[in-house]
Amino acid sequence: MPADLLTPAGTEAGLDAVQYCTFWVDELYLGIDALTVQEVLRNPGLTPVPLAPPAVRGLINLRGQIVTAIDLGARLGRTPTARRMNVVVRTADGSASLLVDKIADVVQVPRSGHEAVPTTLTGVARDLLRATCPLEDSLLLILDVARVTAFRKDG
Amino acid sequence: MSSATDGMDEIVQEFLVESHENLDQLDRDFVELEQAPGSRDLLASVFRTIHTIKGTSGFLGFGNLEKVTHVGENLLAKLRDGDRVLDGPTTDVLLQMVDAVRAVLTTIEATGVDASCDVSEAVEAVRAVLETTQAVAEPEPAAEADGRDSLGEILVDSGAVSPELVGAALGVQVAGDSRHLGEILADAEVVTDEVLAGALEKQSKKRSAVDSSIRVDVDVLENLMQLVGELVLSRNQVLQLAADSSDADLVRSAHRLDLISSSLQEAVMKTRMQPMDYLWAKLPRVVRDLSAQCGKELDLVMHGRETELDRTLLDAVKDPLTHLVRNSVDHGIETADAREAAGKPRRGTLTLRAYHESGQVVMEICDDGAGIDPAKIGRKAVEKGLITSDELAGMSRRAVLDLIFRPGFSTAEAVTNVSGRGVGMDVVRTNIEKIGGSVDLTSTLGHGTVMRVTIPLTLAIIPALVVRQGEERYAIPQANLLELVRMHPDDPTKGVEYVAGVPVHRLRGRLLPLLDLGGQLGSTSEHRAAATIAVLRSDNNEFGLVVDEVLETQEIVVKPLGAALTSLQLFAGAAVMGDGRIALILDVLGLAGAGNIQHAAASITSSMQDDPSLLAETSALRSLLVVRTDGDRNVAVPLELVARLEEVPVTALERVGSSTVVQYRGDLLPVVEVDQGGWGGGYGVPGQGGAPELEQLGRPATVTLVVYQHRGGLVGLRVSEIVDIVEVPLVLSPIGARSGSLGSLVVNGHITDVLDVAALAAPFGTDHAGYDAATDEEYSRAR
Repeated sequence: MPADLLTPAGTEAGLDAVQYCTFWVDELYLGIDALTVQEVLRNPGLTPVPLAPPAVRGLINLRGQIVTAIDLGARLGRTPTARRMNVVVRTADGSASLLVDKIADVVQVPRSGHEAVPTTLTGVARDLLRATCPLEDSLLLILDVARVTAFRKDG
Repeated sequence: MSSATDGMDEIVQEFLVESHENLDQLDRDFVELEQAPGSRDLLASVFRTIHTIKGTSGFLGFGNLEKVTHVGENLLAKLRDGDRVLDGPTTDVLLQMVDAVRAVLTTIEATGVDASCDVSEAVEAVRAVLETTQAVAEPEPAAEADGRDSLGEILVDSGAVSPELVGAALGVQVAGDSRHLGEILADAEVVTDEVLAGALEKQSKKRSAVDSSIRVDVDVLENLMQLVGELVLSRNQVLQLAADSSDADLVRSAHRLDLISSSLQEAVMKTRMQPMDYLWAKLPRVVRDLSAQCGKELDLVMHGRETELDRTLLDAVKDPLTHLVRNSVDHGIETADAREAAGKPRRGTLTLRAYHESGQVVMEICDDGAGIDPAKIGRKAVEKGLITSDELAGMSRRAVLDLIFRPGFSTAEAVTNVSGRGVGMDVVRTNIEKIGGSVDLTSTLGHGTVMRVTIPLTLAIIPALVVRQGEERYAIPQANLLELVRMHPDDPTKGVEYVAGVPVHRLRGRLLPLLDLGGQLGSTSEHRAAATIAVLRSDNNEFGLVVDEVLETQEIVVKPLGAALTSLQLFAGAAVMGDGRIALILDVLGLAGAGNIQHAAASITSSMQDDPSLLAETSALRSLLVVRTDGDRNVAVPLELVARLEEVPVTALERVGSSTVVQYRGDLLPVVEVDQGGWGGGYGVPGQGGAPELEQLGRPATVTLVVYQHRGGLVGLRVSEIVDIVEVPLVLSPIGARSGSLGSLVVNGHITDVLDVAALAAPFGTDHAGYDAATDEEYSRAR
């Protein structure tokens, strides 16, 4: 299972580590494969979408492309707040933007440094996490970008 | 790889792209040529194309390509010069030649050389035709008759030469001079070379569109679009700075920048759009070959070639479209003999139509063929085990027709090599649905089939109305918009009335159900300072959408919403506005669904099933004449049926057989007693009581008659009093419905029956002198 979690999307053949772009949402230290990150924006204009799922904060005009801004906190089942930093990620369905509280460093984690998500974890977060990486002074949670940006009908 | 071969590769690449384009043009020209075999213009164009390919292939060292184009050119030269005329076999070998050229080009594209191509077959075929002799029937007049101006005419029209000089030059030509008319005139120094060149260009203006365009890689456009997006954002920032500045020069420059970047953005966005013709151009050839193969005669008609669609979407619908067209030719249109036997013209017609509707691009493929027999489809589906016969019994006609989209379905009596192997329609549907579109079909047995492909908005540029609701702007596709109604500026609630709590607006005598955009979008604020009603139509339902303000109409580029938002039925997409902000595009169909517009119509339908003629006007206001009957009840008669109100003395009522009549304008007017037999029973049977009893009851000396039209004649309705004329929405409760009454409604606080005057007067209908079928029809229309 852990090997499966690390599909080589973020790794080059022969490279024994994955680079993660990391950020904070509330007290959660989260990371996504650095290669899926397109850019980081601060405070772009948001157009609200009535009737949208609560986690969808609005639409961003990213140089003519329309990108959905998703409050990552709300997506993880926390209260939506005015998060300002936009991490624009590329997915199979186009781009999406994740609203986070604070951007942190790019972290390199060796493959062996990945652990499975604790099976005792339940709720929305369980579906959205791919792995955990215990670092020296913190615990990095790796997000599954495709699942974060895709909503089921009830989402 | 050396730079020299690089340069060579580039030339070859360019040659390939250009040649493919030219070949598509050739196909069209050939098909057109069959209709107008004498057209010099077309022949010259074909000749030029082949000549260009031949020349370049010689230069690039493609020997086989040169060989096949060379014989083709020989044949074409003969045609152009009028030594031969274009007949069926000639067209066939020329098309064969074009196919060979195409095959060679494909090989060159793949391998870089053409040595492996065998073109001898095509070459031999052309040679064989060249060797046959042909009786040439006056090609000269044919060339003149193709409707295009001759060079002489153009020169005379432009005033460059006098008609006499042209006449003289023509005389020289007739006398045996082999030079062209232009050459003769130029050599005689009658016209300058410039004037001549201008006239020649005018003559060949048909090709000018091709000459004035260049080819651009789609990636380049994509990049350009991104850059313009960045420019627009920067512009917005500059505008912001300028707004805070007092420097007049800065403000002026910023505004210029604003204007220019807006125009640039618009222009760049349009570059990705291509007309439907890009897809359709190939079809005449496809249809020609297919119909020949199937032994059918048919014309291909195209409407809406100019309808624009994003290039990527065009590519996506290319294969499905070809498939549908093939299907129509192979299965849809019957053979000429079968058509004649069915009383239809021998030549079938295949019509392609493309247009924007409801913010989508709709493409219809209509044939006037035999249509699809649901019974046959059902049988086949059961035979093939796709469904059980029990399932079939429970299916609607539409659902049965839909079976042809099931995988593994084929209805062709005989499997041909064109279609009918059971692959196809399901693939077509899958491919169209992949890009978010839909395919459905309607078919009338004996009259033809219509395939309707709806291609989503995505990336299409559509005209839209931009409205403001609250803080945000929304775009409504113009295709759904019928009109705008501005509400009273001081009190926007004026003009809004309520039918059982549902807001409506009276629009020229019809009741228009209203939806509040704010309410639909989940906004809670009730108050609005001003409002406009956008009258919208979706699926034949009309409704008014109340918005805060109408801003402008604009061409917008539709962008899809992300995966997180696709479940929202109110929005069809989003668009970036000129200022860089985003406006959501309203999905009118979704709005109608969310606002129960269809649902409401359906419920009225079910309550009025007994009288379908009323359905068409359910939500409309109707004028009713309210009268009091002898039984002291109020009843209403649709006012448009009432011809006159008359008062006649009781003594004028006479009995004829079982009917009561009165002499009226030299004719007999049958009189219907409205309330015979007391309340609770049915209305009506005329004259059963009869005049004598009425007199006994000591009624007034005169009676009031409502004279109304029935089946072209007149019928008098005896009432005791005329009460009122009211205008109400004719929404009937079925509770009061019984013989003679359509149902009840509340008028001025009284339950009022609406009389079914047709039923009341039915006994007079058939034997009335004025009645015939035509007036009956008129009558039901009037209702």
